[in-house]
Amino acid sequence: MRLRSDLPLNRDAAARFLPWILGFMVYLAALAVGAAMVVDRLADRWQTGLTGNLTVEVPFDPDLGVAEKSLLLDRIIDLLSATPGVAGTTLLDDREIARLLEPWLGVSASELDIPLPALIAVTLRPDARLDRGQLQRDLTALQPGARVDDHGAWIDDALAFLDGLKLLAALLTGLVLVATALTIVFVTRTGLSIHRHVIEIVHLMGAPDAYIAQQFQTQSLRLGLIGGVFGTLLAAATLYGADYLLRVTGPFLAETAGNVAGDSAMAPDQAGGGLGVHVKLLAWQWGVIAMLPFAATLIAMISARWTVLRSLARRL
Amino acid sequence: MQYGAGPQILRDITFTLAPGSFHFLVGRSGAGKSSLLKLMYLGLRPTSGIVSLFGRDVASLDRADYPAIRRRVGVVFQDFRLIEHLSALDNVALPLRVAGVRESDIRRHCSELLAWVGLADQLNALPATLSGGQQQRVAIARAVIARPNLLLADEPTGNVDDVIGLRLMYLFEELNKLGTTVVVATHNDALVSRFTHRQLRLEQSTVRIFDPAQPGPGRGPQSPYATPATAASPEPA
Repeated sequence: MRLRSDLPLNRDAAARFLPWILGFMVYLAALAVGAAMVVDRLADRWQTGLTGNLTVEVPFDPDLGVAEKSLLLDRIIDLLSATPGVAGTTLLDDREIARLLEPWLGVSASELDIPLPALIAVTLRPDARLDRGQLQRDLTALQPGARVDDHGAWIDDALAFLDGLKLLAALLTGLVLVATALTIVFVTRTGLSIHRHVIEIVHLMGAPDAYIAQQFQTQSLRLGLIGGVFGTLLAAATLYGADYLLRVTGPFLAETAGNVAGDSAMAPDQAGGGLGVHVKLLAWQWGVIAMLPFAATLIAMISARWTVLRSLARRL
Repeated sequence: MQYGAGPQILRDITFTLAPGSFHFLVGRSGAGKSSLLKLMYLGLRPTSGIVSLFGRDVASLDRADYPAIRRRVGVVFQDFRLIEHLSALDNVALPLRVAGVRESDIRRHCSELLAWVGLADQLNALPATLSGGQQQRVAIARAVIARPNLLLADEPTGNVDDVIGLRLMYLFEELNKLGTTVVVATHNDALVSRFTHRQLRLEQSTVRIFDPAQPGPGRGPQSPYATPATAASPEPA
Protein backbone atom coordinates (compact mmCIF):
# COMPACT_ATOMS: atom_id res chain seq x y z
CA MET A 1 0.00 0.00 0.00
CA ARG A 2 1.49 3.28 -1.14
CA LEU A 3 1.31 5.79 1.66
CA ARG A 4 2.80 8.85 0.02
CA SER A 5 0.29 11.06 -1.68
CA ASP A 6 0.39 13.47 -4.59
CA LEU A 7 -2.77 15.14 -3.33
CA PRO A 8 -2.47 17.19 -0.13
CA LEU A 9 -5.41 15.35 1.42
CA ASN A 10 -3.82 15.43 4.87
CA ARG A 11 -4.22 19.19 4.97
CA ASP A 12 -7.92 19.17 4.27
CA ALA A 13 -10.34 19.95 7.05
CA ALA A 14 -11.68 16.44 6.43
CA ALA A 15 -8.45 14.94 7.68
CA ARG A 16 -9.09 16.58 11.04
CA PHE A 17 -12.76 15.81 11.55
CA LEU A 18 -13.11 12.52 9.74
CA PRO A 19 -11.43 10.42 12.46
CA TRP A 20 -13.86 11.93 14.97
CA ILE A 21 -16.89 11.16 12.83
CA LEU A 22 -15.69 7.67 12.01
CA GLY A 23 -14.78 7.10 15.65
CA PHE A 24 -18.24 8.19 16.72
CA MET A 25 -19.89 5.97 14.11
CA VAL A 26 -17.87 2.94 15.13
CA TYR A 27 -18.59 3.72 18.79
CA LEU A 28 -22.34 3.69 18.12
CA ALA A 29 -22.12 0.56 15.98
CA ALA A 30 -20.05 -1.24 18.63
CA LEU A 31 -22.55 -0.31 21.35
CA ALA A 32 -25.46 -1.48 19.21
CA VAL A 33 -23.73 -4.75 18.38
CA GLY A 34 -22.70 -5.18 22.03
CA ALA A 35 -26.25 -4.52 23.17
CA ALA A 36 -27.63 -7.03 20.67
CA MET A 37 -25.23 -9.64 22.00
CA VAL A 38 -26.12 -8.91 25.61
CA VAL A 39 -29.78 -9.23 24.73
CA ASP A 40 -29.07 -12.47 22.93
CA ARG A 41 -27.36 -13.98 25.97
CA LEU A 42 -30.09 -12.65 28.21
CA ALA A 43 -32.70 -14.38 26.07
CA ASP A 44 -30.80 -17.65 26.40
CA ARG A 45 -30.53 -17.24 30.13
CA TRP A 46 -34.16 -16.38 30.66
CA GLN A 47 -35.21 -19.27 28.52
CA THR A 48 -33.07 -21.83 30.37
CA GLY A 49 -33.87 -20.18 33.72
CA LEU A 50 -37.61 -20.24 33.23
CA THR A 51 -37.94 -23.52 31.40
CA GLY A 52 -36.32 -25.09 34.47
CA ASN A 53 -39.27 -23.95 36.52
CA LEU A 54 -42.98 -24.43 36.80
CA THR A 55 -45.55 -22.90 39.03
CA VAL A 56 -48.56 -24.89 40.16
CA GLU A 57 -51.52 -22.82 41.19
CA VAL A 58 -54.06 -24.49 43.49
CA PRO A 59 -57.33 -22.61 44.13
CA PHE A 60 -59.38 -23.72 47.10
CA ASP A 61 -63.01 -23.97 47.82
CA PRO A 62 -63.56 -21.11 50.36
CA ASP A 63 -65.43 -23.51 52.66
CA LEU A 64 -62.50 -25.90 52.96
CA GLY A 65 -60.97 -26.29 56.41
CA VAL A 66 -57.30 -25.78 57.22
CA ALA A 67 -56.63 -29.49 57.79
CA GLU A 68 -58.32 -30.44 54.53
CA LYS A 69 -56.35 -27.80 52.68
CA SER A 70 -53.13 -29.08 54.12
CA LEU A 71 -54.01 -32.65 53.23
CA LEU A 72 -54.83 -31.68 49.66
CA LEU A 73 -51.57 -29.78 49.28
CA ASP A 74 -49.57 -32.70 50.65
CA ARG A 75 -51.17 -35.00 48.09
CA ILE A 76 -50.40 -32.55 45.29
CA ILE A 77 -46.79 -32.17 46.43
CA ASP A 78 -46.47 -35.96 46.61
CA LEU A 79 -47.81 -36.18 43.09
CA LEU A 80 -45.38 -33.55 41.86
CA SER A 81 -42.41 -35.14 43.63
CA ALA A 82 -43.26 -38.48 42.07
CA THR A 83 -43.44 -36.97 38.59
CA PRO A 84 -40.35 -37.84 36.51
CA GLY A 85 -38.08 -34.83 35.90
CA VAL A 86 -39.07 -32.87 38.99
CA ALA A 87 -36.10 -31.95 41.18
CA GLY A 88 -37.90 -30.25 44.01
CA THR A 89 -40.98 -28.37 45.17
CA THR A 90 -41.46 -25.36 47.40
CA LEU A 91 -44.77 -24.29 48.83
CA LEU A 92 -44.88 -20.50 48.90
CA ASP A 93 -46.20 -19.15 52.20
CA ASP A 94 -48.93 -16.52 52.42
CA ARG A 95 -46.44 -13.68 52.94
CA GLU A 96 -44.65 -14.47 49.72
CA ILE A 97 -47.88 -14.70 47.83
CA ALA A 98 -48.97 -11.38 49.26
CA ARG A 99 -45.65 -9.85 48.18
CA LEU A 100 -46.20 -11.14 44.65
CA LEU A 101 -49.70 -9.74 44.54
CA GLU A 102 -48.67 -6.40 45.98
CA PRO A 103 -48.09 -4.69 42.62
CA TRP A 104 -51.65 -5.52 41.61
CA LEU A 105 -53.59 -5.38 44.84
CA GLY A 106 -51.58 -2.93 46.95
CA VAL A 107 -49.70 -3.28 50.23
CA SER A 108 -52.65 -4.44 52.21
CA ALA A 109 -53.50 -7.35 49.93
CA SER A 110 -53.14 -9.81 52.78
CA GLU A 111 -55.69 -7.87 54.82
CA LEU A 112 -58.32 -8.20 52.14
CA ASP A 113 -60.54 -11.09 52.80
CA ILE A 114 -60.15 -12.77 49.46
CA PRO A 115 -59.32 -16.38 48.89
CA LEU A 116 -55.75 -16.71 47.71
CA PRO A 117 -54.62 -19.78 45.83
CA ALA A 118 -51.69 -21.81 47.04
CA LEU A 119 -48.62 -21.58 44.85
CA ILE A 120 -46.08 -24.34 44.51
CA ALA A 121 -42.77 -23.59 42.83
CA VAL A 122 -41.48 -26.65 41.03
CA THR A 123 -37.84 -26.98 40.00
CA LEU A 124 -37.14 -29.30 37.08
CA ARG A 125 -34.01 -31.24 36.30
CA PRO A 126 -32.02 -29.56 33.50
CA ASP A 127 -32.63 -32.45 31.09
CA ALA A 128 -36.21 -33.02 32.15
CA ARG A 129 -38.78 -33.88 29.50
CA LEU A 130 -41.95 -33.27 31.37
CA ASP A 131 -45.29 -34.39 30.02
CA ARG A 132 -47.13 -31.25 30.89
CA GLY A 133 -50.50 -32.46 29.64
CA GLN A 134 -50.37 -35.58 31.79
CA LEU A 135 -49.38 -33.54 34.84
CA GLN A 136 -52.26 -31.17 34.26
CA ARG A 137 -54.71 -34.08 34.01
CA ASP A 138 -53.36 -35.65 37.20
CA LEU A 139 -53.70 -32.35 39.03
CA THR A 140 -57.22 -31.77 37.80
CA ALA A 141 -58.16 -35.21 39.10
CA LEU A 142 -56.94 -34.26 42.58
CA GLN A 143 -58.31 -30.71 42.57
CA PRO A 144 -60.36 -29.25 39.73
CA GLY A 145 -59.05 -25.76 38.92
CA ALA A 146 -55.42 -26.54 39.75
CA ARG A 147 -53.24 -25.17 36.99
CA VAL A 148 -49.69 -25.75 35.75
CA ASP A 149 -48.05 -22.53 34.63
CA ASP A 150 -44.81 -23.11 32.75
CA HIS A 151 -44.39 -19.37 31.97
CA GLY A 152 -44.71 -20.23 28.27
CA ALA A 153 -46.71 -17.12 27.44
CA TRP A 154 -44.44 -14.93 29.51
CA ILE A 155 -41.35 -16.39 27.86
CA ASP A 156 -42.83 -15.94 24.39
CA ASP A 157 -43.61 -12.31 25.14
CA ALA A 158 -40.22 -11.70 26.68
CA LEU A 159 -38.41 -13.36 23.81
CA ALA A 160 -40.44 -11.42 21.26
CA PHE A 161 -39.48 -8.24 23.09
CA LEU A 162 -35.81 -9.23 23.12
CA ASP A 163 -35.99 -10.13 19.43
CA GLY A 164 -37.37 -6.66 18.81
CA LEU A 165 -34.43 -5.17 20.67
CA LYS A 166 -32.01 -7.22 18.59
CA LEU A 167 -33.68 -6.11 15.39
CA LEU A 168 -33.47 -2.52 16.55
CA ALA A 169 -29.76 -2.92 17.29
CA ALA A 170 -29.16 -4.48 13.88
CA LEU A 171 -31.06 -1.65 12.23
CA LEU A 172 -29.02 0.91 14.16
CA THR A 173 -25.77 -0.78 13.15
CA GLY A 174 -26.88 -0.80 9.52
CA LEU A 175 -27.82 2.88 9.67
CA VAL A 176 -24.47 3.76 11.22
CA LEU A 177 -22.61 1.94 8.46
CA VAL A 178 -24.71 3.64 5.77
CA ALA A 179 -24.04 7.00 7.43
CA THR A 180 -20.33 6.19 7.40
CA ALA A 181 -20.43 5.45 3.69
CA LEU A 182 -22.40 8.64 2.96
CA THR A 183 -19.97 10.73 5.01
CA ILE A 184 -17.06 9.33 3.04
CA VAL A 185 -18.86 9.96 -0.25
CA PHE A 186 -19.45 13.57 0.75
CA VAL A 187 -15.90 14.12 2.03
CA THR A 188 -14.42 12.49 -1.07
CA ARG A 189 -16.51 14.67 -3.37
CA THR A 190 -15.35 17.73 -1.48
CA GLY A 191 -11.76 16.54 -1.77
CA LEU A 192 -12.13 15.98 -5.50
CA SER A 193 -13.49 19.47 -5.85
CA ILE A 194 -10.83 21.14 -3.69
CA HIS A 195 -7.99 19.38 -5.47
CA ARG A 196 -9.38 19.42 -9.00
CA HIS A 197 -6.40 21.40 -10.30
CA VAL A 198 -3.87 18.96 -8.88
CA ILE A 199 -5.99 16.05 -10.12
CA GLU A 200 -6.04 17.59 -13.60
CA ILE A 201 -2.25 17.85 -13.58
CA VAL A 202 -1.86 14.29 -12.37
CA HIS A 203 -4.28 13.21 -15.11
CA LEU A 204 -2.32 15.08 -17.75
CA MET A 205 0.81 13.27 -16.56
CA GLY A 206 -0.96 10.09 -17.62
CA ALA A 207 -2.40 8.90 -14.32
CA PRO A 208 -5.40 6.60 -14.64
CA ASP A 209 -8.41 7.29 -12.41
CA ALA A 210 -7.45 4.32 -10.25
CA TYR A 211 -4.19 6.08 -9.33
CA ILE A 212 -6.17 9.02 -7.94
CA ALA A 213 -8.72 6.73 -6.30
CA GLN A 214 -5.83 4.96 -4.59
CA GLN A 215 -4.82 8.16 -2.84
CA PHE A 216 -8.30 8.76 -1.48
CA GLN A 217 -8.51 5.12 -0.45
CA THR A 218 -5.23 5.33 1.44
CA GLN A 219 -6.48 8.42 3.21
CA SER A 220 -9.70 6.62 4.19
CA LEU A 221 -7.68 3.67 5.43
CA ARG A 222 -5.55 5.87 7.66
CA LEU A 223 -8.34 8.03 9.07
CA GLY A 224 -10.73 5.09 9.33
CA LEU A 225 -8.30 3.05 11.39
CA ILE A 226 -7.45 5.94 13.69
CA GLY A 227 -11.11 6.82 14.31
CA GLY A 228 -12.34 3.24 14.32
CA VAL A 229 -9.85 1.92 16.84
CA PHE A 230 -10.51 4.81 19.21
CA GLY A 231 -14.27 4.39 18.81
CA THR A 232 -14.03 0.68 19.56
CA LEU A 233 -11.84 1.17 22.62
CA LEU A 234 -14.29 3.74 23.92
CA ALA A 235 -17.21 1.38 23.27
CA ALA A 236 -15.41 -1.45 25.09
CA ALA A 237 -14.87 0.88 28.03
CA THR A 238 -18.56 1.83 27.95
CA LEU A 239 -19.67 -1.82 27.91
CA TYR A 240 -17.39 -2.56 30.86
CA GLY A 241 -18.77 0.47 32.64
CA ALA A 242 -22.32 -0.68 32.00
CA ASP A 243 -21.47 -4.12 33.37
CA TYR A 244 -20.04 -2.56 36.51
CA LEU A 245 -23.09 -0.36 36.99
CA LEU A 246 -25.45 -3.30 36.54
CA ARG A 247 -23.55 -5.34 39.05
CA VAL A 248 -23.79 -2.55 41.59
CA THR A 249 -27.47 -1.87 40.99
CA GLY A 250 -28.34 -5.45 40.01
CA PRO A 251 -29.93 -6.65 43.27
CA PHE A 252 -32.18 -3.62 43.38
CA LEU A 253 -33.20 -4.12 39.76
CA ALA A 254 -33.89 -7.79 40.41
CA GLU A 255 -36.21 -6.98 43.25
CA THR A 256 -38.09 -4.41 41.24
CA ALA A 257 -38.31 -6.62 38.21
CA GLY A 258 -39.25 -9.61 40.33
CA ASN A 259 -42.12 -7.63 41.77
CA VAL A 260 -43.21 -6.41 38.40
CA ALA A 261 -43.03 -9.85 36.87
CA GLY A 262 -44.87 -11.20 39.85
CA ASP A 263 -43.08 -14.43 39.39
CA SER A 264 -41.31 -16.19 42.17
CA ALA A 265 -39.87 -18.69 39.77
CA MET A 266 -37.42 -16.07 38.64
CA ALA A 267 -36.16 -15.25 42.04
CA PRO A 268 -34.11 -18.30 43.00
CA ASP A 269 -32.36 -18.44 39.68
CA GLN A 270 -31.57 -14.77 39.51
CA ALA A 271 -30.79 -14.17 43.13
CA GLY A 272 -27.05 -13.74 42.63
CA GLY A 273 -26.98 -11.91 39.34
CA GLY A 274 -29.70 -9.35 39.52
CA LEU A 275 -31.97 -9.51 36.49
CA GLY A 276 -29.49 -11.66 34.70
CA VAL A 277 -28.59 -8.57 32.66
CA HIS A 278 -24.85 -9.00 32.49
CA VAL A 279 -22.87 -7.02 29.96
CA LYS A 280 -20.43 -9.89 29.92
CA LEU A 281 -19.57 -10.84 26.39
CA LEU A 282 -17.99 -14.06 25.22
CA ALA A 283 -14.59 -14.04 23.54
CA TRP A 284 -16.04 -14.43 20.06
CA GLN A 285 -18.44 -11.56 20.72
CA TRP A 286 -15.55 -9.29 21.65
CA GLY A 287 -13.92 -10.55 18.48
CA VAL A 288 -16.89 -9.37 16.41
CA ILE A 289 -16.76 -5.96 18.06
CA ALA A 290 -13.00 -5.79 17.48
CA MET A 291 -13.66 -6.36 13.76
CA LEU A 292 -15.95 -3.33 13.56
CA PRO A 293 -13.26 -0.66 12.98
CA PHE A 294 -11.85 -2.76 10.17
CA ALA A 295 -15.27 -3.29 8.64
CA ALA A 296 -15.96 0.45 8.86
CA THR A 297 -12.55 1.21 7.33
CA LEU A 298 -13.22 -1.21 4.50
CA ILE A 299 -16.57 0.45 3.86
CA ALA A 300 -14.85 3.85 3.91
CA MET A 301 -12.22 2.71 1.40
CA ILE A 302 -14.78 1.19 -0.94
CA SER A 303 -16.96 4.32 -0.72
CA ALA A 304 -13.97 6.56 -1.46
CA ARG A 305 -12.86 4.50 -4.43
CA TRP A 306 -16.37 4.27 -5.85
CA THR A 307 -16.92 8.02 -5.45
CA VAL A 308 -13.61 8.94 -7.13
CA LEU A 309 -14.09 6.59 -10.07
CA ARG A 310 -17.67 7.68 -10.58
CA SER A 311 -16.94 11.41 -10.30
CA LEU A 312 -13.87 11.31 -12.53
CA ALA A 313 -15.66 9.30 -15.19
CA ARG A 314 -17.85 12.36 -15.75
CA ARG A 315 -14.86 14.61 -16.41
CA LEU A 316 -12.88 14.89 -19.63
CA MET B 1 -12.10 24.97 -32.14
CA GLN B 2 -14.31 27.21 -30.04
CA TYR B 3 -15.03 27.67 -26.35
CA GLY B 4 -18.75 27.47 -25.60
CA ALA B 5 -20.64 29.86 -27.84
CA GLY B 6 -17.55 32.04 -28.33
CA PRO B 7 -15.88 32.78 -31.65
CA GLN B 8 -14.02 30.05 -33.45
CA ILE B 9 -10.42 30.48 -32.38
CA LEU B 10 -8.88 27.82 -34.56
CA ARG B 11 -10.31 26.85 -37.92
CA ASP B 12 -9.26 25.53 -41.29
CA ILE B 13 -6.14 24.06 -39.79
CA THR B 14 -4.51 21.04 -41.32
CA PHE B 15 -1.02 19.89 -40.58
CA THR B 16 0.87 16.77 -39.75
CA LEU B 17 3.88 16.60 -37.48
CA ALA B 18 6.26 13.97 -38.74
CA PRO B 19 7.73 11.76 -36.05
CA GLY B 20 11.03 13.15 -34.87
CA SER B 21 10.36 16.64 -36.26
CA PHE B 22 11.00 19.92 -34.45
CA HIS B 23 8.61 22.84 -34.84
CA PHE B 24 8.25 26.25 -33.34
CA LEU B 25 4.66 27.35 -32.86
CA VAL B 26 4.64 31.10 -33.27
CA GLY B 27 1.95 33.74 -33.26
CA ARG B 28 0.85 36.77 -31.31
CA SER B 29 -0.48 36.19 -27.87
CA GLY B 30 -4.14 35.23 -28.07
CA ALA B 31 -3.64 33.70 -31.49
CA GLY B 32 -4.56 30.28 -30.13
CA LYS B 33 -1.14 28.71 -29.50
CA SER B 34 -2.10 27.33 -26.12
CA SER B 35 -5.45 26.05 -27.41
CA LEU B 36 -3.72 24.26 -30.26
CA LEU B 37 -1.32 22.65 -27.78
CA LYS B 38 -4.24 21.65 -25.56
CA LEU B 39 -5.82 19.83 -28.48
CA MET B 40 -2.55 17.96 -28.83
CA TYR B 41 -2.19 16.89 -25.20
CA LEU B 42 -5.85 15.88 -24.79
CA GLY B 43 -6.57 18.89 -22.60
CA LEU B 44 -9.42 19.80 -24.97
CA ARG B 45 -11.53 17.97 -27.48
CA PRO B 46 -12.00 19.66 -30.84
CA THR B 47 -15.51 21.04 -31.39
CA SER B 48 -15.19 19.95 -35.01
CA GLY B 49 -12.56 18.38 -37.17
CA ILE B 50 -10.17 15.56 -36.50
CA VAL B 51 -7.19 15.41 -34.19
CA SER B 52 -5.22 12.26 -34.43
CA LEU B 53 -2.41 11.30 -32.07
CA PHE B 54 0.02 8.45 -32.67
CA GLY B 55 -2.25 7.25 -35.45
CA ARG B 56 -5.44 7.27 -33.39
CA ASP B 57 -8.36 9.59 -33.86
CA VAL B 58 -8.88 11.38 -30.54
CA ALA B 59 -12.66 11.32 -30.98
CA SER B 60 -12.58 7.54 -31.08
CA LEU B 61 -10.62 7.27 -27.84
CA ASP B 62 -12.23 5.93 -24.75
CA ARG B 63 -11.54 7.65 -21.46
CA ALA B 64 -9.56 4.59 -20.39
CA ASP B 65 -7.21 5.08 -23.36
CA TYR B 66 -6.17 8.58 -22.27
CA PRO B 67 -3.53 7.68 -19.65
CA ALA B 68 -1.48 5.55 -22.05
CA ILE B 69 -1.48 8.31 -24.68
CA ARG B 70 -0.81 11.10 -22.21
CA ARG B 71 2.24 9.24 -20.93
CA ARG B 72 3.71 9.53 -24.41
CA VAL B 73 3.21 13.29 -24.40
CA GLY B 74 5.33 15.62 -22.25
CA VAL B 75 3.93 19.09 -21.63
CA VAL B 76 5.59 22.26 -20.36
CA PHE B 77 2.71 24.47 -19.32
CA GLN B 78 2.95 28.20 -19.70
CA ASP B 79 2.02 28.64 -16.05
CA PHE B 80 4.19 25.62 -15.08
CA ARG B 81 1.37 23.96 -13.13
CA LEU B 82 3.68 22.50 -10.54
CA ILE B 83 2.03 20.84 -7.56
CA GLU B 84 2.59 23.29 -4.75
CA HIS B 85 2.92 20.92 -1.82
CA LEU B 86 5.38 18.59 -3.56
CA SER B 87 9.13 19.14 -3.67
CA ALA B 88 10.89 19.84 -6.97
CA LEU B 89 12.00 16.22 -6.99
CA ASP B 90 8.50 14.86 -6.37
CA ASN B 91 7.05 17.13 -9.05
CA VAL B 92 9.55 15.81 -11.58
CA ALA B 93 8.93 12.28 -10.37
CA LEU B 94 5.19 12.44 -11.01
CA PRO B 95 5.14 11.08 -14.60
CA LEU B 96 7.33 8.18 -13.54
CA ARG B 97 5.23 7.45 -10.46
CA VAL B 98 1.97 7.33 -12.36
CA ALA B 99 3.70 4.99 -14.81
CA GLY B 100 4.65 2.71 -11.92
CA VAL B 101 8.45 3.07 -12.17
CA ARG B 102 10.40 1.75 -9.17
CA GLU B 103 11.04 4.29 -6.43
CA SER B 104 14.83 3.80 -6.39
CA ASP B 105 15.05 4.44 -10.14
CA ILE B 106 12.78 7.45 -9.82
CA ARG B 107 15.04 9.13 -7.30
CA ARG B 108 18.17 8.56 -9.35
CA HIS B 109 16.72 9.75 -12.67
CA CYS B 110 15.04 12.79 -11.21
CA SER B 111 18.03 14.05 -9.27
CA GLU B 112 20.25 13.59 -12.32
CA LEU B 113 17.90 15.56 -14.52
CA LEU B 114 17.37 18.31 -11.96
CA ALA B 115 21.14 18.61 -11.61
CA TRP B 116 21.36 18.90 -15.39
CA VAL B 117 18.95 21.85 -15.43
CA GLY B 118 20.98 23.47 -12.63
CA LEU B 119 18.77 22.66 -9.68
CA ALA B 120 20.98 20.13 -7.88
CA ASP B 121 20.68 22.14 -4.67
CA GLN B 122 16.89 22.53 -4.88
CA LEU B 123 15.76 18.90 -4.98
CA ASN B 124 13.63 19.24 -1.87
CA ALA B 125 12.56 22.83 -2.38
CA LEU B 126 8.86 23.55 -2.69
CA PRO B 127 7.83 25.40 -5.87
CA ALA B 128 6.80 28.50 -3.91
CA THR B 129 10.38 28.95 -2.70
CA LEU B 130 11.79 28.78 -6.23
CA SER B 131 12.17 31.71 -8.62
CA GLY B 132 10.07 31.80 -11.79
CA GLY B 133 12.99 30.57 -13.86
CA GLN B 134 13.70 27.73 -11.45
CA GLN B 135 10.05 26.69 -11.47
CA GLN B 136 10.11 26.70 -15.25
CA ARG B 137 13.09 24.37 -15.24
CA VAL B 138 11.33 22.02 -12.83
CA ALA B 139 8.32 22.06 -15.18
CA ILE B 140 10.57 21.25 -18.12
CA ALA B 141 12.32 18.47 -16.24
CA ARG B 142 8.89 17.00 -15.41
CA ALA B 143 7.87 17.17 -19.08
CA VAL B 144 10.92 15.32 -20.34
CA ILE B 145 11.69 12.88 -17.49
CA ALA B 146 9.63 10.04 -18.98
CA ARG B 147 11.21 10.45 -22.47
CA PRO B 148 7.94 11.31 -24.20
CA ASN B 149 7.38 10.66 -27.91
CA LEU B 150 5.89 14.12 -28.24
CA LEU B 151 7.04 17.17 -26.27
CA LEU B 152 4.80 20.22 -26.21
CA ALA B 153 6.33 23.32 -24.60
CA ASP B 154 4.29 26.47 -24.08
CA GLU B 155 6.65 29.47 -23.77
CA PRO B 156 9.28 27.33 -22.06
CA THR B 157 11.88 30.07 -22.02
CA GLY B 158 9.64 32.94 -21.01
CA ASN B 159 10.99 33.29 -17.48
CA VAL B 160 14.66 32.49 -17.89
CA ASP B 161 17.60 34.53 -19.10
CA ASP B 162 19.04 33.96 -22.55
CA VAL B 163 21.82 31.67 -21.38
CA ILE B 164 19.45 29.29 -19.60
CA GLY B 165 16.91 29.69 -22.39
CA LEU B 166 19.45 28.44 -24.90
CA ARG B 167 20.50 25.64 -22.59
CA LEU B 168 16.89 24.50 -22.37
CA MET B 169 16.53 24.68 -26.15
CA TYR B 170 19.59 22.45 -26.44
CA LEU B 171 17.91 20.02 -24.04
CA PHE B 172 14.89 19.94 -26.38
CA GLU B 173 17.19 19.40 -29.37
CA GLU B 174 18.93 16.52 -27.57
CA LEU B 175 15.56 14.90 -26.96
CA ASN B 176 14.61 15.56 -30.57
CA LYS B 177 17.75 13.79 -31.74
CA LEU B 178 16.72 10.81 -29.65
CA GLY B 179 13.47 10.69 -31.62
CA THR B 180 11.05 12.92 -29.69
CA THR B 181 8.76 15.09 -31.77
CA VAL B 182 9.02 18.62 -30.36
CA VAL B 183 6.72 21.61 -30.58
CA VAL B 184 7.87 24.79 -28.84
CA ALA B 185 5.30 27.59 -28.66
CA THR B 186 6.90 30.98 -28.23
CA HIS B 187 6.56 34.59 -29.21
CA ASN B 188 10.27 35.16 -28.71
CA ASP B 189 11.35 35.93 -32.30
CA ALA B 190 14.98 36.30 -31.29
CA LEU B 191 15.01 32.75 -30.00
CA VAL B 192 13.22 31.37 -33.07
CA SER B 193 15.62 33.09 -35.41
CA ARG B 194 18.63 31.38 -33.80
CA PHE B 195 17.38 28.01 -34.97
CA THR B 196 16.45 26.65 -38.33
CA HIS B 197 13.49 24.59 -37.26
CA ARG B 198 10.20 24.77 -39.11
CA GLN B 199 7.62 27.18 -37.80
CA LEU B 200 3.91 26.70 -37.41
CA ARG B 201 2.62 30.25 -37.73
CA LEU B 202 -0.76 30.93 -36.21
CA GLU B 203 -2.37 33.92 -37.84
CA GLN B 204 -6.06 34.80 -37.95
CA SER B 205 -7.09 31.49 -36.35
CA THR B 206 -5.37 29.40 -38.91
CA VAL B 207 -1.90 27.96 -39.34
CA ARG B 208 0.79 28.34 -41.97
CA ILE B 209 3.97 26.37 -42.06
CA PHE B 210 7.17 28.28 -42.63
CA ASP B 211 10.45 26.56 -43.28
CA PRO B 212 13.47 28.83 -42.74
CA ALA B 213 15.55 26.44 -44.83
CA GLN B 214 13.30 27.12 -47.83
CA PRO B 215 12.48 30.84 -47.73
CA GLY B 216 9.06 31.91 -48.91
CA PRO B 217 5.71 31.93 -47.09
CA GLY B 218 3.33 29.08 -47.14
CA ARG B 219 5.84 26.36 -47.79
CA GLY B 220 5.44 23.19 -45.88
CA PRO B 221 4.52 19.58 -46.06
CA GLN B 222 0.88 20.44 -46.74
CA SER B 223 -1.09 23.36 -47.95
CA PRO B 224 -2.36 25.20 -44.90
CA TYR B 225 -5.74 25.87 -46.45
CA ALA B 226 -6.56 22.34 -47.46
CA THR B 227 -9.57 21.16 -45.46
CA PRO B 228 -11.68 22.62 -42.70
CA ALA B 229 -10.27 20.31 -40.11
CA THR B 230 -7.71 20.32 -37.36
CA ALA B 231 -5.22 17.55 -37.58
CA ALA B 232 -2.14 17.06 -35.52
CA SER B 233 -0.92 13.57 -36.01
CA PRO B 234 2.59 12.88 -34.88
CA GLU B 235 3.23 9.25 -35.64
CA PRO B 236 5.04 7.20 -33.02
CA ALA B 237 8.76 7.68 -33.20
